[in-house]
Amino acid sequence: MKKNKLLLNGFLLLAVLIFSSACDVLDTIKTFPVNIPMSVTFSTSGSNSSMVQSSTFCVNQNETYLQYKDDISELTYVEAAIRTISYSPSDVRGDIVLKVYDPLGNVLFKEVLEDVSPGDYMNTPYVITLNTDEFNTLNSYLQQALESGGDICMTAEFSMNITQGSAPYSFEGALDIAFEAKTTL
Amino acid sequence: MRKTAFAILLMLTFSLQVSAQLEDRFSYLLEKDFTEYAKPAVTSLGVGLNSAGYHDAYVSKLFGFSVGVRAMFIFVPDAQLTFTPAGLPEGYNANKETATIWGDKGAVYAGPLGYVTYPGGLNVSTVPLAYPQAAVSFMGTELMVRYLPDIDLGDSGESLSLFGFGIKHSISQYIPLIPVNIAVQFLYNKLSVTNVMESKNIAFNVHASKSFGLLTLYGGLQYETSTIDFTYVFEDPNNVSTLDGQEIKATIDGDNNIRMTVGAAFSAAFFVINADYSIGSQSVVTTGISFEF
Repeated sequence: MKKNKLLLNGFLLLAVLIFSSACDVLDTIKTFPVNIPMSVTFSTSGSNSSMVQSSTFCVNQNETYLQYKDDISELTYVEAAIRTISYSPSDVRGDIVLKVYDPLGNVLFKEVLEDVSPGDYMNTPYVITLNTDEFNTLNSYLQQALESGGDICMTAEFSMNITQGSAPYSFEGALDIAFEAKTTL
Repeated sequence: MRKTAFAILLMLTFSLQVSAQLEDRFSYLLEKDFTEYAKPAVTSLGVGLNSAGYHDAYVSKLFGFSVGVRAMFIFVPDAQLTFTPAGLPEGYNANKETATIWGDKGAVYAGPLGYVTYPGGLNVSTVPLAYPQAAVSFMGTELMVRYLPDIDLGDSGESLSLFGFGIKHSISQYIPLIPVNIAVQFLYNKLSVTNVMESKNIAFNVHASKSFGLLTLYGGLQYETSTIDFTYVFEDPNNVSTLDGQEIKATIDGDNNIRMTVGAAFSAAFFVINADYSIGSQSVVTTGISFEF
């Protein structure tokens, strides 16, 4: 009789465990992440060996962002890369600097590529590695901008100091950047 | 009791949430990658619906009746939480894995057209499922039915429905003095979300049981298949594909084929509580409570 009671309690405990664990699983699926890819293009040409161009982009104008905008609870940086679309002359080399600013002019992150050929990044974009400070600064800006309900804009400044190759110079490239939006169901 | 009923309702809701999210997510994938992304869910659904077919190999020769609820936890192995994409455009390198529907983060891949991104997953490695079932038996044969009426999934006009049946026949009734009960069983289950997916699951098993007073020990070997037909419209979030807006129809087979089950059932008056564990492509712990005679 005691054995039977023990067995019955064991089965009931298992059933309760399964039901209560199911509730925990349900809690974890209240949000799901959506990746938002963006590209900012630069185009510059001329005879000056120092080329600078900047472009502003807003995450909240992205199509995928707009699709989920009412459900986004968190916005974070995932990855960024510098990509060359076209360039001339073919032997051009130089130092490339990319800076990304928030609307107040604070640098969110910066990447310097010294003595490189733009051709190296035609088929294989250069993936930027952010240090911990840059990563935290960028994510902090994204979250604050998201919570404020306003625009989530940044300005990317691309500059190239040419050290090899004959003028005239031309360069067309892009900053590719991916964000993750945590969306609630 | 009210809490238990609430939990069952939650688990049914889980299926609804998963299907709604699936549609949101797989619209970003072309067929090749969608197959890999969704396959673990096809397997889980198959494992779940092909479970709980029996808790005793005894089948009444006169008349028997049973009605109850089955609840289970399906364990998704780590290998089924990620996959390597095969559908990246030319010039892209699949140098890392991305999440399946049960995984976590969707990967991003840099390439000559900008980033190609993959959807994340639900970040769960255990999947709960519950459904009601009833059975009648006579002359050593049992007919089992699982049924859920159409459940409206919201404004989209889609609804979820479940229908399944099983036929079980006692083999031991033909073998005199055999010390255990043996039966064979065929199961068919269909779960549909209108205009989105149809999951068909078939299983055949042979199982045996032996009673010791109020306790029955049982075990079995099962062969099973699971297939889901999906229809969706591809939406390219990366703007790199020419197939944006194209309707895609995909048929995905689950990884579940063979499973081995061991379990025990406890009878108290007209109530039976059972629990079992099955080893297969995804393992599953099942428990159930039935009112039967």
